[in-house]
Amino acid sequence: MPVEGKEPDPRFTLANERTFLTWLSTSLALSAGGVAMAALPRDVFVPWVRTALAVVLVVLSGLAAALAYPRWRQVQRALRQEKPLPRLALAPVFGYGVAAVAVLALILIVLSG
Amino acid sequence: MIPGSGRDGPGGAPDRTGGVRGPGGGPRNPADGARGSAGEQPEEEAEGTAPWGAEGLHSERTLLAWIRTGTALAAGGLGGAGVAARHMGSGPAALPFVLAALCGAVLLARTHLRHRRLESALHEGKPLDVRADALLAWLGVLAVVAGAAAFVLAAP
Repeated sequence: MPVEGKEPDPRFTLANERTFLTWLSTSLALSAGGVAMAALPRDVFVPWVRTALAVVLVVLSGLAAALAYPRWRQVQRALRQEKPLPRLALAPVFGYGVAAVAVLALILIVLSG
Repeated sequence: MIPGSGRDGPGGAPDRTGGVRGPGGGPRNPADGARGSAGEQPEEEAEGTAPWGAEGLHSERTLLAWIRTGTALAAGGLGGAGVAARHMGSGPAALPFVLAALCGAVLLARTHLRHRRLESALHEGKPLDVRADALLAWLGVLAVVAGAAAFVLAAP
């Protein structure tokens, strides 16, 4: 970390570190979901729907992974400078994105059954 | 509290004598002395307890978060490599997953060292720095994402 501002309370530093790790875990879970969706047998979903759902999950996973490290640094910088924490503008994208995939997958499961 | 930081954490944990301590288990008022000074040792500290009080729980949770992430990377990497090799039948498709599994394994192997350094830094009031491990974890996750994207786009 660049030495600027004051060393923050270690509890804040550790909380920031855990949040970073949670972003990475979220990204891994989304990737696992995307791979699982793409690896489904061909007769479970319509192929293009299955691929579209998998792509959405992997794109969300990529966003989470790409954001994680820069955000960790930004938050740490804000803590050192005792500034407000940066906003997470993409939070709704993750919430609605995962919810949309889940609802669509549920509808397809019900229709196929 | 790190000496000289001038920041008390959220709340400040009550100590066992009814007073309020800073997040480091030291006195809340910086004028009471820096952590680690001779007069700061809590008289009620039991043998075998962590001298930094509530921060020990934060470091413990962080340790568990690192273990979770390392395990997920290693297991996800191995699982992804298996799925990619089975469905696509080529070595290069499994390569990013293998790289991720290696990153996870290194992170898990460094768990104890990282935790010991963290506790030492907390104890001595030094800055915490885990940038190398964070970059390694980030690299592993990016490799998984790349492998997953290739698999999803090329899956039969």
